[in-house]
Amino acid sequence: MTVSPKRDFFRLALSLLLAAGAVSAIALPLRWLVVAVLAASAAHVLLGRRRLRSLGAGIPVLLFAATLVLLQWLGGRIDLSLPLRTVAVFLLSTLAASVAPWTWIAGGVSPGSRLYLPGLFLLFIRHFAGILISESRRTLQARALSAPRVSGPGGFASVTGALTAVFRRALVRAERFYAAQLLNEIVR
Amino acid sequence: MGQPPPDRLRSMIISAVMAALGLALPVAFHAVGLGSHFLPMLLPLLVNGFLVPLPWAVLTGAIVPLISSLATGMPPMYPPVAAQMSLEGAVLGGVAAALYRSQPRRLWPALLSAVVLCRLSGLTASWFLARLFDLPAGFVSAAMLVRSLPGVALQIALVPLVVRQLERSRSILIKPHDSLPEA
Repeated sequence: MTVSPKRDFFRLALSLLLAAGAVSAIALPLRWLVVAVLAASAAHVLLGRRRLRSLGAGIPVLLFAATLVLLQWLGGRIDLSLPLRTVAVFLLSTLAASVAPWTWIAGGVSPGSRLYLPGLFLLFIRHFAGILISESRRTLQARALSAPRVSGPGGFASVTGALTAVFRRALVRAERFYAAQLLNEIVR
Repeated sequence: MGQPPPDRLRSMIISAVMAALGLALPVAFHAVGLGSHFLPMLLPLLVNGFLVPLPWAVLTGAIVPLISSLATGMPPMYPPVAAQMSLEGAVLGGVAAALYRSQPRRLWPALLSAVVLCRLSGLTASWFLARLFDLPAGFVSAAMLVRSLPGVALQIALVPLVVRQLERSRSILIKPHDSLPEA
């Protein structure tokens, strides 16, 4: 599927605007902060199913914001602007990252450029992250089924064993990738 | 110019895999209910410190929390917990890489120094952040330290096992002069 450069440019502009919004949310007054949170939540919902999942991923951030309120209560002074800013920055920054045209940006970096190596590094990370998220989840799920508890006899050892397997398999994947890159260079 | 030189490519690929694990493990840990107190993001960053040169270890340790924050929202960008974890990751990978490169056969001193200095930098950063945001600094720092203890135990139990296994795996990614002599 080809996407027009005009559309990519628009997405880049939108992403930069949202990133600027995330930065400015740190200094917004409370009333505007509420508006920013509501608008960013609506934008997450409107921008499609995939982003809805990212909104669901906001539960840990909401828990973190609740912990901040608890800590403020322990400190004897509750200021709701801090948890609200946390949520606003989360919504705006993740939205900015999800609408940014990463493939278009990466494609625009030439091999002679200073940005080539950092760009390549980030592409490698994206490539491996896509594979390893499901692989490590499967391994840890298998561990949870065989040893439901973390504490107690064998529990901690089972976590260690599962993670060792994840690291070993990650290295095998990295090795294949490295060999492919070396062969590619030899062929050239 | 096309490919980076093989040595740089090797470090880049190992660091990319460890960075990807740093992004994947917290998601997997949460999915199976193991939680964040095992410090799953920091584990691969520590292993990376034993496998690649100092600049790659520091760079990878510093960027993974920031990428994770942009991709998943955790650790949060504000208050700057992502920046605090970025500092912890850089210290963890950097200290391990610097000490293990200077004395390749001595894994334990490098591991313990990296873990202790990482916790100290995290403790200092969380204390300053708590002061900055008018939170009870002593309580926040102590809670952060206590919560991370299972993660520290996992680092100390797992990393020597993984590093020794990887070094003995005769992988083309692990250079011969990096590996330990056979026992």
